[in-house]
Amino acid sequence: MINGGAAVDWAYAKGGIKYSYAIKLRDTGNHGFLLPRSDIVPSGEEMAAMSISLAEFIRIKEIEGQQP
Amino acid sequence: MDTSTAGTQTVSGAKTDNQPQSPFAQASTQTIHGTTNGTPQAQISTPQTPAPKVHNPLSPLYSDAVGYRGEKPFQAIESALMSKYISTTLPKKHKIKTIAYLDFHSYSQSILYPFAYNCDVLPKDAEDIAEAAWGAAKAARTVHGRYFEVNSACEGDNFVVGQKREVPT
Repeated sequence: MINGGAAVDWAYAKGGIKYSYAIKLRDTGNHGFLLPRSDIVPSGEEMAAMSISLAEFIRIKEIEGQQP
Repeated sequence: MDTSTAGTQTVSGAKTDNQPQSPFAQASTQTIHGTTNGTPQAQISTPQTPAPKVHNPLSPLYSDAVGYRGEKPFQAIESALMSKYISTTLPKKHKIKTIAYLDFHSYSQSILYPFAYNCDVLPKDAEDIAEAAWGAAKAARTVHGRYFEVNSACEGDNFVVGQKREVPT
């Protein structure tokens, strides 16, 4: 949804941070903001895997200069 | 100005997974108005006072519709200090160049890249950013099977780098 003033916009344009993302967590509407307690650990595991994958991509591309 | 399509999501108070009665169970009779496309505005409104549908940011009712946004950028101390930390403290005092910024939100299961304010503007290196995001989405799906989509933060229907851009009819 279009909106001005998002942190991800600022981080890229003003903060000069190349890999700026807004990451939306679980789920897609069944519980929404009221996620059950049982989703906490699985959501964290997903986010950990995602963050590691991003860090790995950035390391290979930006620091080593290879094609990930 | 893009308008959010109002949809309704009813929070069911039914017990699932044998959980103890949630403190939010009384929300089962309330309807959360939100968008069906993008970040829902979790404005809990009763049927007697629904959230007004105002799309003009200059209207005095706009804040009621989307929530009070403050009076000027970085009015909130937290955002002012965070921006100062990223733009000044890290590069100048600690000599650190920040390469990534992850902004975690509820909910939608998606990874969004700039820009949110306009669907017609893309970052200079949008393809690199989207490629990294697709890899991260795959890594997330590998863990528990939840599909994470990659999209521009403007979340238009026709805008994903790497896919055919549908011309809106």
